[in-house]
Amino acid sequence: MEQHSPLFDLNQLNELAAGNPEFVGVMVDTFLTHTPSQVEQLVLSFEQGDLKRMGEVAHKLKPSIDLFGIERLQTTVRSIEQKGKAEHKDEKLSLEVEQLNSVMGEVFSELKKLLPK
Amino acid sequence: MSLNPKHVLIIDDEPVMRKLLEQILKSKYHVTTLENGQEALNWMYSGNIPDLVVADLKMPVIDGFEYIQRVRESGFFSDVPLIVLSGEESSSERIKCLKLGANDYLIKPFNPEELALRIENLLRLKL
Repeated sequence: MEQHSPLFDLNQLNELAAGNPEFVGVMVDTFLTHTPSQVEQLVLSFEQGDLKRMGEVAHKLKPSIDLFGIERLQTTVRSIEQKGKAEHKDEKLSLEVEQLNSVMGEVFSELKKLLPK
Repeated sequence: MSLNPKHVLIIDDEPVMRKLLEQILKSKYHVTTLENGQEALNWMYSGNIPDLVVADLKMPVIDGFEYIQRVRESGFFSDVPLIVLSGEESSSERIKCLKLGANDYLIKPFNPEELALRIENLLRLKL
């Protein structure tokens, strides 16, 4: 069940690192630098009724959500992307955007703890 | 890295993806990353000719489709191997890219080993 999966999973990144100790840190830092503004853009686009833009941002967020193993959002981000592409607003879209914003906020907070102080 | 590494150009407007590709490929290739097709064309017309390009499709200013078309229409870069790496999963997008002249197409999320092998194969064919 997506709701009960861990917040994120860095196994894939650790595998890609192939023993390079800096790799995961660089990727987490890049993610934390750039992804929060993308989430803000997605939420803002939804609030402004710009569903096409919302879908485009979801499309861009999708690989990062997969890469960081954020399983709770893998279906959600694809649903938002598809609804944006079709410019289709249904009763679930608001909840999906809210879920994405909330889970990503938690992910950012937890990932920040992994970075050296 | 070898003494004379091949030069791979990565074009993607998504910073996490750019960094990921750079990190994966930099041990073997000289890597340049740029944010969209316009930046890539400017860079190439300034005298930089990559040995291979990995390009996203959905990018601002000049997207992947237009970039491929303009590269293939140019006299200078028409034979540079080009791999599309996109989150677009539909076969119509893939066919469009291949018709425009892309050599290969991978869907995100991708297997890095598969990408590395496809890059190697295309570079070998180019020799």
